[in-house]
Amino acid sequence: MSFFKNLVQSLFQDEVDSDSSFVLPEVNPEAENKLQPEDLLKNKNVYPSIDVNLEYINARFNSLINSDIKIREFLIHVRNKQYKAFIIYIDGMSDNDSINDFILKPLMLKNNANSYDGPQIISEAIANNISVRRVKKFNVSDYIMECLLPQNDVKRENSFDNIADSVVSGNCILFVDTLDYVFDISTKKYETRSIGEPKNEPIIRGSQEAFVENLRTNTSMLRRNLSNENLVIENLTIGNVDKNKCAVCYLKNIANADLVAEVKYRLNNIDVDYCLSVGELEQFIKDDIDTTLPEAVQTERVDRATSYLLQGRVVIVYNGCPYVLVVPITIFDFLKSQEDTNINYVAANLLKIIRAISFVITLLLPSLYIAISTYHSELLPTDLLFSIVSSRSSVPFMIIIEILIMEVSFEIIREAGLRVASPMGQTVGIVGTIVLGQAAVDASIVSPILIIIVAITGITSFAVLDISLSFHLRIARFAYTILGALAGFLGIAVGLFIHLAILCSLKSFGVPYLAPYAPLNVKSSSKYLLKPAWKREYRDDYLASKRPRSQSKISLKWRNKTE
Amino acid sequence: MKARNFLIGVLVLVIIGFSISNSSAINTIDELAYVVAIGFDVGDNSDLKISFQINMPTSASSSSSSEGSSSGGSSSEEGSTSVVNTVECNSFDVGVSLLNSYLSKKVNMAHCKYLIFSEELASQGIGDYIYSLKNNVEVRPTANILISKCSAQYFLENSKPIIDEVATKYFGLETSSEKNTSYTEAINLKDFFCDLSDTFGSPYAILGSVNELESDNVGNSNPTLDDNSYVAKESEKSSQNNIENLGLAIFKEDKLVGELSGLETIVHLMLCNNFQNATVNIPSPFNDTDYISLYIYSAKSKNSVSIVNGSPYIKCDVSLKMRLLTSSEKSNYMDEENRKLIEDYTNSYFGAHINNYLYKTSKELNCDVCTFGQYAVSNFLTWGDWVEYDWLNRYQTSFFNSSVNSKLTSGYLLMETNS
Amino acid sequence: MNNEKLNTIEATFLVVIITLTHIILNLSNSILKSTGSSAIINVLYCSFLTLVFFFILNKLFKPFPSKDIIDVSEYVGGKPLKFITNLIYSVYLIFVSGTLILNFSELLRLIYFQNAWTPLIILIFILSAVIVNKLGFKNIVKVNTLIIFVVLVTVVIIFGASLDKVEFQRVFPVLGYGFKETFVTGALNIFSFGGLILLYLIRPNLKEQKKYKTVGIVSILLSSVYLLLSVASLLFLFPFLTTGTETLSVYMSTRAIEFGKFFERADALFILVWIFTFLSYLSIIISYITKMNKKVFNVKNSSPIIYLVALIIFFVTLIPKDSSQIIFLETTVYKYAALAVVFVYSFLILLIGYIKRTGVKVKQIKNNKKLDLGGDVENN
Repeated sequence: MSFFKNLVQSLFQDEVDSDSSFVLPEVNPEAENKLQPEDLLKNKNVYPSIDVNLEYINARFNSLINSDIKIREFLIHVRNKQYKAFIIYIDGMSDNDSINDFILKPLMLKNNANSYDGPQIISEAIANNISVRRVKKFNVSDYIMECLLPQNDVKRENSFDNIADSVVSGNCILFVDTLDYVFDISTKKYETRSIGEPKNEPIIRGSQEAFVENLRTNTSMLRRNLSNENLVIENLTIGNVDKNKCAVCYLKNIANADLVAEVKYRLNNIDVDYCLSVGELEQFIKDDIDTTLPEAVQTERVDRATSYLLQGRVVIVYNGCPYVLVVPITIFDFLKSQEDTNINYVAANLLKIIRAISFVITLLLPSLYIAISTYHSELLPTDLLFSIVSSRSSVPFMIIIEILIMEVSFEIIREAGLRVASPMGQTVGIVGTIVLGQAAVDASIVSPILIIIVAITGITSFAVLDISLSFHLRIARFAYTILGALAGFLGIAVGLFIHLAILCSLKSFGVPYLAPYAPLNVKSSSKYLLKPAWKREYRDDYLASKRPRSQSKISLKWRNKTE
Repeated sequence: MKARNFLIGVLVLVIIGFSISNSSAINTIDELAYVVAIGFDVGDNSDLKISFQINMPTSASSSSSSEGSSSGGSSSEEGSTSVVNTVECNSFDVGVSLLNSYLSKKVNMAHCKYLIFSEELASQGIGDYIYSLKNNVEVRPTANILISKCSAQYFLENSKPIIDEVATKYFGLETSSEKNTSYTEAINLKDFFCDLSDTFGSPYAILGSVNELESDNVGNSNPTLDDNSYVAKESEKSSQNNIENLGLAIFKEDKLVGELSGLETIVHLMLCNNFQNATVNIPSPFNDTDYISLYIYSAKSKNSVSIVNGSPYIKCDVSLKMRLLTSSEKSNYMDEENRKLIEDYTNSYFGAHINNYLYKTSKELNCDVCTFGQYAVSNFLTWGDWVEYDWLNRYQTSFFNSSVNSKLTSGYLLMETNS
Repeated sequence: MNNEKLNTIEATFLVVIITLTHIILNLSNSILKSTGSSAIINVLYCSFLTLVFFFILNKLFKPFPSKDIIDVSEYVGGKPLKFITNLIYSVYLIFVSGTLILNFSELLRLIYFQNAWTPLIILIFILSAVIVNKLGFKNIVKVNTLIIFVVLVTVVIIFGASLDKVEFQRVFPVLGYGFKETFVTGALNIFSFGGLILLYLIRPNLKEQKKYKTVGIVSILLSSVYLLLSVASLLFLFPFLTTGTETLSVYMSTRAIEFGKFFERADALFILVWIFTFLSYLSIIISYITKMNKKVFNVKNSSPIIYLVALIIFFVTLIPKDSSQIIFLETTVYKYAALAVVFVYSFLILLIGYIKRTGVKVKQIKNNKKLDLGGDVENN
């Protein structure tokens, strides 16, 4: 009974308002395009007061929310005097051992070097009963530099900009009270262990680095690729029983603040006992829970995640999973390869068009074949029709049965080949080829033309790069095949129309799924086809990022020789 | 969201219901017999005798790689690529269902390339058949209309491809051959229908016949004829039969009244501005017995019609561009003087033929096949005036002024053979 | 609410799709029938008339920012007139969409589904429109904006493909059936711009009120260009006296299209695109009827109205008994209904509203007294 009650209720409910209503605002791309908030922007130097410095560093590195920015406050013993001091470094980028042993230890622990408080006499001359001692003028800075930091690469630095650059590159910075400069100590040590090549998103040209299971390693890879102190990596835990760590990464000066808040809000409000992988997490946070379409990109490529971060998107790193989630996305992000931006834009656009064609073919080819052969056979060119007819003349099945047999066995072979232990995979492939290809035709179970169609459909489905999208396409393909068999072009058109409307209604974290085509934004900078590298002046406008421009109007300044 | 899924479910149910209600009309490609050409004859006992040429699917079971292996044994399969079935009936649609009654598959005419009417039927009038063919959903308006000088059934039975294996490919090729020869014009159902129902001009169709000559070289057997004035079927001897399409059949309203020979068709196409290219022999200006061959690759005609004293005055300015195909010993055709001579000869040759053509269509046949009506109509302000003028019957009273201006642009590889 | 606002392109295409849908069926044919060879001149003339009409319309709407015709009629005649206007509009839209869908479904049945039961085809259309309506108004607009490009391209293709067979001489005799038929009774052919009805309703949905004028002008121009293209391709392709007997003229011209040897019989592809057009059209009509009634009856939840409207349209399609009735409904009845509703009734209401408003304004200045003008509808 309650089923019908719910059904009637939902039938008469206004669904438009019941959607999750988070939308990103539209912004003017020519709006303010600042790199930093105003007060942080001025090229500031280190203050003599350590408290002021600490405050500034906290603000600049967002260290209160940034999980891997480590600030350690302590007291330095210099000649038995104590100075306030702190160090800042990034966890995962710096060598913990060397910080502990060669920075903190000499500075904090009492030892011969720092406990002596007598004057250091360089020379002593007695004249007229006055002993003139040339005492080395005591200088804390020099003293620390010369005696207390047993490190090979130490620099003094007084500009906060340089400091920020050093920190994000893995150095450890030592602030000491009363000094208006800092010590920039090289402690770079990346965790390079077990970083493998991307297995599932290979490209030819470009970085060959993939995420691993460890959260900190992954964040450090992001840090290393994206040298900007505005990269915020916030830690959250998900799960009541298995409290797994999850890091939300974004560029604070670029990503839309509402978007970041929404991501954190959703992640913080998942009341589950456990969530083991990014794929599971994606289903917990997606906008439209009913759809089979993915609403977040899962990538194992560090450079891809970095490029998304630079666009102003949010990357979610999940401990224990070598994939990261990127939100928000549009459907066109699934047809993107990281390679596209690395090669000439004309070639990239050719690839993109081919991918779009593959998308259509893999979705519609079997259904078009059955619709045409059942209802619209006049559409085929006569010669083609006759060769199809003669190839089918000894096949006993109806076309729809034939298609379903072939599609299902193709899916079986695909699934079996994927799941089986890898030495067996070859066997599955060979058996599949022989059974599906040669034998089925020879036995007149299926027609050769159908083998071609299923093969094309299968191959094009691999050209659609994202695996979760191709799952959706496979499901939809079966639906379209049946629609085509039932009502020909009418069925396909009705299916496409509703499919399109559903696609239009989807949102990924407030971004329309088909942006910028629906709603149509003619002036949008983020069309499907790429512009030349020097003309990609704007970030994707539907992201409403804080810094809409990504290049200045004339980006290739060197060409402008008159100046 | 649940409501949406429920509604989609209902929609799927409706589509299934729709499909069930429609299922008896569904015919997949396996269940259809594809008619390639339809022939219409006067029946022996009833009004009509309709012949259907039906394509037979060659069995693919011979081997999986049938393309390679079957080419050797093609001669044995040649006859089986298509069959001709004939039914007698009173109307076209009944004929189709009669045919369906003894075929295991349903007849489908969506791929019909040729509609063939026998000369006998055509002279009785084919208007009704054209209208009902036009009304048919399956028959395409792009199917060609052909008037055969023999019976349509005989025509179809003899239409065996020489070069191609599949009958349709052959038909497709045959219609496109007019692009190379200009001996006929590919008139399709839509064109014929438009002309038939139009007030601008008279309908015409392809003229075809079974050529029963010993060789395919049509010109040789009949030396008394000028090559191009040849009309389909001029000889009786038979060894290898082959159909050929040459010339046009001219209709007055829906009745066949005359025909145009190959050369007249070339002239017709020139005047109608549908000319593609043609190879033509004209008497040699240098030698009385010889001919020289010209390749005409462009012909434009400026037509205008004005009404003088109630009669149409038709003015045609034809400009030709051509190349010289002939070359002989010790000749220099591209010489300024010779060129001029050839051009003059061409002008007078075609001028004469154009006049013949105009005289034939207007005075003899009174059929405005060149649709001069479309030029005449601009003299009228309203539709009422035009209909009242009754162009199609006034065409007979028209008088002409034609001029030809030809230009010999080049020869081919040999420029000069003076040695 | 911000969600429901349309930008200029979306609004323009909403209006264009209505005309396009009529073009695909018999609109261009009935123009040809009434004017003969002067159809092209007549279309140009009617487009000009419509533009002039729209300029007046725009002027009259000026004192009513972001109000639609329903609001104006409430301002003119209070609640009763509001209900009447709503009723007239709903009945008109339901009737027009019903006959169009019926006609198109009949066509589909005739060509592809000989044994199918037409109401089932109609039901497929209507159910799809309902599903899409449940997804919200904005999504319909988005889908419409996407597919209208394809539709516009097909019309151009039909024209372009027939270009080599065109006989331009068919524009003669210039005046067709005569001067009177072309310019006096031919003026009634402005009914082909019946899509203008959305211009009365679209105002509250516009993102920028200033763009109303642009939306109107661009949509009228686009409509007239496409009307011209389709009329021209029919006129140049066929002897127009005979096309009058054809049930679906544009479909007929697609049957004659050939693109080389491969695409010889591509009409099924055009049908595929047109199914999109009709689905989009029906969704838009249903959503606008729903919007109007929601506003008039102050209903919060639009779902019941959607079902009701869909049901009524379905029943309307069951009324005509045979194809001659459908053709009569689609050409003659629609012609005069469109003229009456779009060009006379709505215009009169707007005119009275304008006079009243400006009159009140003058009074207002005189008496320096504040009047609340239609404030209670503002929340919609």
